[in-house]
Amino acid sequence: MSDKYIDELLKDFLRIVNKHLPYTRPTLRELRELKNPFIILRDGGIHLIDPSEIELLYQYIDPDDEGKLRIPIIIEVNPKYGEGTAVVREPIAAKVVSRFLKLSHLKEPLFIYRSQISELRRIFRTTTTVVFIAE
Amino acid sequence: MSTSLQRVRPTKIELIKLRRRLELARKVHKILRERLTILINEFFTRLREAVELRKAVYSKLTKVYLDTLILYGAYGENLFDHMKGLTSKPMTAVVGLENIMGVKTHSAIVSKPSYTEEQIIPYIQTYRAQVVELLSNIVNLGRADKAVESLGKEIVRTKRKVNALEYYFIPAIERTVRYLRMKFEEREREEKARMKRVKQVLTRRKAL
Repeated sequence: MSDKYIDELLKDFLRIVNKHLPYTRPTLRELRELKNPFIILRDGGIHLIDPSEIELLYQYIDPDDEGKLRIPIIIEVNPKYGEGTAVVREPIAAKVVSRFLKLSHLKEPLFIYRSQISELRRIFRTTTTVVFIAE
Repeated sequence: MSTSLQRVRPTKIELIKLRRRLELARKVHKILRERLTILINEFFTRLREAVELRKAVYSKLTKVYLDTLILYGAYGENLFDHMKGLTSKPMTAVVGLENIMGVKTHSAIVSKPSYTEEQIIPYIQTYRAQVVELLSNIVNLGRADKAVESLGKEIVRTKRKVNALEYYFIPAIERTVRYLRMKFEEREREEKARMKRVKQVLTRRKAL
């Protein structure tokens, strides 16, 4: 295997892990107005959003923030924070997540751990997504 | 574990390239391992969901089947035509794709039907609610099963990549880097010895 090929292959691995990221991120209100809510991904695919999750998110959000919360909520996984640790950077998303997980102290960015990621993904299957950051 | 070394020219440029590649490989390994862990968690979540849904489907299926027989026996085949007539908006399922961290799987959104209220046949509302719930559970079970299958395949693929990096690729680069360092040290020692020898020869010549 040539050196160039190996380097490209390794870079490709990093590129592939994030191909599921959304191309556009509509707000919660915009998605609620759609009959069959969906988002378009970077790879051109369509990702269906479960309307029941949108309704559930409405229970955890302040009425002023409905037009500001962008879907999907991005959970950032970065190995520099340690294994099993993830970050929710957006303030409104962090507020919603901390309310859902019943975290008493809201800090920005919000750090969550493996069990909390599982819990979050279990309920908000289509309205959250995980991003892998390599620095 | 493989003991092979990569075939490289023993130059400083090669060493720099290899160290860069090692750094990149370690980074990729960390990311892929994190992805693997999250995929496994996701797999178990979906598996649990599928098991729960399967249990629910089996229990409801028996009940709905028995109820259908009773209603059919009591009201005959016109019952279902009557029920169809009362349905103003039928139950629909929109099937599309769902992307779970790069794993494409089928997804479905079930919309509940609506009816015109008419209380002619007793028990019909409860029966209809049970049927709707059963159908919704069946669609969700299909979705969960498909997700489990797709996630399982992706886990195998990712695990193979992680293992290849962990047990073959990274150790091979590390060994090659170590070999090159030893080679350079060896050259340095040789150079020192040569210089000492030259100095000795020059001093001897001066003395003459």
